[in-house]
Amino acid sequence: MDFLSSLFGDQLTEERLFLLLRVLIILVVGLPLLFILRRVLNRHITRHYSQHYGMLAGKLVFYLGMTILLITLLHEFGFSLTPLLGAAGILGIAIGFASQTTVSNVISGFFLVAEKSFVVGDVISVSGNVGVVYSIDTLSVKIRMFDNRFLRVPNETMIKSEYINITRFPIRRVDCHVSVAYKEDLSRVSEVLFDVAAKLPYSLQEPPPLLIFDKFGSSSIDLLFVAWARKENFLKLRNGLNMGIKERFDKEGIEIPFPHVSVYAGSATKPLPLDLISRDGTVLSTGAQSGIGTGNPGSETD
Amino acid sequence: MSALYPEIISMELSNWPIITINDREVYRHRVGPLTIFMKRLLNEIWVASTRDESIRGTPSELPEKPEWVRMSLPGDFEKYRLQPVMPDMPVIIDTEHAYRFVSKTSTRVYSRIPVWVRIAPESREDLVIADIPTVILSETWFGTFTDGEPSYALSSTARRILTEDLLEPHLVVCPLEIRNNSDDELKFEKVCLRVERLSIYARENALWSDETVINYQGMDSSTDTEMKGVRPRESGDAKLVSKPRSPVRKSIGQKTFRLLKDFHIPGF
Repeated sequence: MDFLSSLFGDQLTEERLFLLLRVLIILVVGLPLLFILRRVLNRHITRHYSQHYGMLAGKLVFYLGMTILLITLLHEFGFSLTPLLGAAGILGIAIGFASQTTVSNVISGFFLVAEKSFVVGDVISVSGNVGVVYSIDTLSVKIRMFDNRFLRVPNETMIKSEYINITRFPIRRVDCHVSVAYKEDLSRVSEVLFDVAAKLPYSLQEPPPLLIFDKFGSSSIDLLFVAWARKENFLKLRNGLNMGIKERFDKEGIEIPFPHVSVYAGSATKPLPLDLISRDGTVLSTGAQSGIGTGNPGSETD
Repeated sequence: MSALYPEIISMELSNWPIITINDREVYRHRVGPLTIFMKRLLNEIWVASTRDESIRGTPSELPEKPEWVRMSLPGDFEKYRLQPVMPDMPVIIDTEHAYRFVSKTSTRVYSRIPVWVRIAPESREDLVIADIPTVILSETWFGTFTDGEPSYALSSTARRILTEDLLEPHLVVCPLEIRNNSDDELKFEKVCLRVERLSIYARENALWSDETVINYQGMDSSTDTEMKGVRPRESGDAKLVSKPRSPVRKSIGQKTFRLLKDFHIPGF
């Protein structure tokens, strides 16, 4: 006490020392308690309900606790709250005008949470960026993209833009675009496709797979084959179906055609001349001599 | 609870034995199309499995590159129990042909469901080492596009008469009593059987489940599904070998039938 008195002189009265002690106790006890409470609540609610509610409850308790702590400290320092609140009102308007974007983000955040179009842990696609919702904060939505980049989207932008919640519903559809040659028997193709899906245990039997005739393509008949999987098996089914179809088509001799392209140089009526060259570099024949590539326009060389 | 679930009888059935595994020795056992391989290494147990076309005979050979699953145990256990258990999700039984019940009628049908093999140390049955399906069933969805539950799909003729030759060691016979108590006609082609709430009884290697009674009350009322919790009369003096995964005894009012009226419309 004597040491402190010598250090601070008349400034340090007994009353002020007790005030300092009280403030220290409030801070030393209050702050860690608040952090612990937030963590415990977050963990408990996440375990029993969902990660989203855990995060919300944690934040709510933390901000409420911080406000109470601040009010208590102000009270300890002898500030009266009534004029403070009045001043806060006037100040609030001024700050509101000055920080419209921030306020807009805060309000948008409330709407995002209330609307529940997505929750923490959902996979969403925003402007072509796909990732897992990491947190919904006061100002922004944080997304962990699949290549482990971090995406921050302001709440206001989220409210204004379209986004897709990929994991909202429990089952998802896998679309397989399949092309077969014109010569193929479509009923046989259909049989093979349904059999491939049936052999994959994670391809749901209900809703059943579906084959849709898409169009007569330039080089192929284009089909759309769709099957359903639980959302957690989506990638497994997509890989399984595409690989299974390729394997079975090869086995059954069903041709998957590829586009045939003719390349012309210069005039559209004159095909690209080709020279035949042996392995040792000897020119066997030129395009003009052999007639290679000098066919009528429309005849294709591939 | 104990009144509803009598103690499991420790009996030796050739398909569900208590096995002794010596250190570093590979043990093989066949249940239907499934062959299980087990190996013990100090306090570790190694489990692998394979399936083939046949459902009887000697166990399959150990594959060239078996996919072993290792598990470290809290002790050095020598004896292990192989136990039949029900699948871990409901089973949707597709009756092949649509079934129609006029008002106030009932019927008793039998479905056979492939069991899973549970491996646990004999002295520590709570220590489940593995649950392995004897047959891999396709998954299906019971519900709408936005809500429902994952299930296994099983095609069944829903037999009215069960003969001895249909009893297989890896298939549990589920007697199903369907009652149409409503004034409407009941038309369905799929039944959701909540197998995780059924016990398994065994007699001479034939497996039986509890009786399930489905009371259809009409389109506007939910369907009562009642698991009797007693062995079916057809099973004779079969003994309880496996308790339900999720023991719920009271009658449950849940969606049970896939009605023809409610038949799937592709989400396109």
